[in-house]
Amino acid sequence: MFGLYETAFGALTWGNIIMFLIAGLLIYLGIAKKMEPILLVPIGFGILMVNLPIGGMMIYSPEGFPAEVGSLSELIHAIGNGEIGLLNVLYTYGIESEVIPLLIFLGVGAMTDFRPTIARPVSFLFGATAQLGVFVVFIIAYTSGLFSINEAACVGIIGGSDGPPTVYLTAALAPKLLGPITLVAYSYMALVPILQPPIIKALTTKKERAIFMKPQLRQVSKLEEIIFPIMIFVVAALLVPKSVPLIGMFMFGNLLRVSGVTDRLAQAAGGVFIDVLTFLLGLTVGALMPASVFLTGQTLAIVGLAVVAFAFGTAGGLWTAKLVNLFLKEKINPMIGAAGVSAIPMSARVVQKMGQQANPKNFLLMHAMGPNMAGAIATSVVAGILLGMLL
Amino acid sequence: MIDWSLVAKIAGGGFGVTILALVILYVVAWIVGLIVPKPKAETKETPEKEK
Repeated sequence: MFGLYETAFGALTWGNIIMFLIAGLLIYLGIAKKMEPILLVPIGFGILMVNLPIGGMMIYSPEGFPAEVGSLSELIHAIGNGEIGLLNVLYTYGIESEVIPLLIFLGVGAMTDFRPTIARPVSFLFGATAQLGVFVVFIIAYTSGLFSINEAACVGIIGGSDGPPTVYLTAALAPKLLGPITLVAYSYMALVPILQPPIIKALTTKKERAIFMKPQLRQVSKLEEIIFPIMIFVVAALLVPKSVPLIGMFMFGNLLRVSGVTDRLAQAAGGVFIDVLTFLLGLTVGALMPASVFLTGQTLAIVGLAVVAFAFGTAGGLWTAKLVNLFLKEKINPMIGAAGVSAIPMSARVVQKMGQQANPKNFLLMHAMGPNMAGAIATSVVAGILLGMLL
Repeated sequence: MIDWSLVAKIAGGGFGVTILALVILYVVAWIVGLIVPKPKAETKETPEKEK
């Protein structure tokens, strides 16, 4: 208006409008369908924020990366001049620095009960082999020519079905893909109840799915619970040093939970603390999806490859459980291996439901929670291995 | 140009190290489970019969 005032209409592109629809869909799925609402609602709103032109919430470099924030002394000057936006600050100090995903993992540790894994340590094998999807998709993504080797590793880690390691690895190796990869990873975790059953059915017979397991696991002592996070951290840190930040925060959070003397800290870490970090993560991840970065062939490929990653991850855990059964007198239900893909607690619930459908006497939830937790540890180890190889 | 040797190193080596690391964690967790005393199963106290 008179050369002094400008609305955003003139700067809108078709890409922005498509992104509004995607943001609307995510907010709808979060609110109306309750699909990962804690993440999808902030991600959806973050997408809206950065796709409204001239808003200045996140300023991008010509290559599509968030603009550099610079030093703290330059920060106030840069914000005032509109050279960077609020979300640039959150991205630089929260995601690029890896602080937010690591602190979220601390909170996750404080909420995690490892007793099913301690009671049945063979769960580690299922968690390990359920990482098959990560490496299969890495090969497909890289050889497709659509992704660089670092990007392919980050697409593969979606198969680990664990948010913080996915964000941590992608922020380090392929920050430009952080938006689509995080969105797809969290969306597919919510879709586990739809994705996994057909894969499990295709790979097992009804007789196998009906294998009965005694509902109770062995009792775990308090001392075992306390030793577990310390032992896992020390051994994993020695074997895969690059996994120390992830495993360290995860196990530290768990130690707060089980120590018996830091209940207040554990409640804080697993309560408001993780909630605040989660919405900051969601909002900032949403802000990494301007139309120019998100509406590409790479995003479509990530959506497709994530299904392949879940399928191979589920198959890896299942096949190992079948293999283990060859050596056991008292057979285990092979479906519990499928819960090794992590996606806590979705995949364990899927196994519980399918187990009861095949044999109403079966109660597999606690049996499946063991591989579920082991899968979370395994994904952190994989992230550390990939960082060690590619960084 | 695809560097197949790098692909093999990362996919094969990476998956192999993952399995190895988790097998070691399995063995260590199993040994800890053997060493640490188990909680005693709760026994119901039966009241003494009145004479």
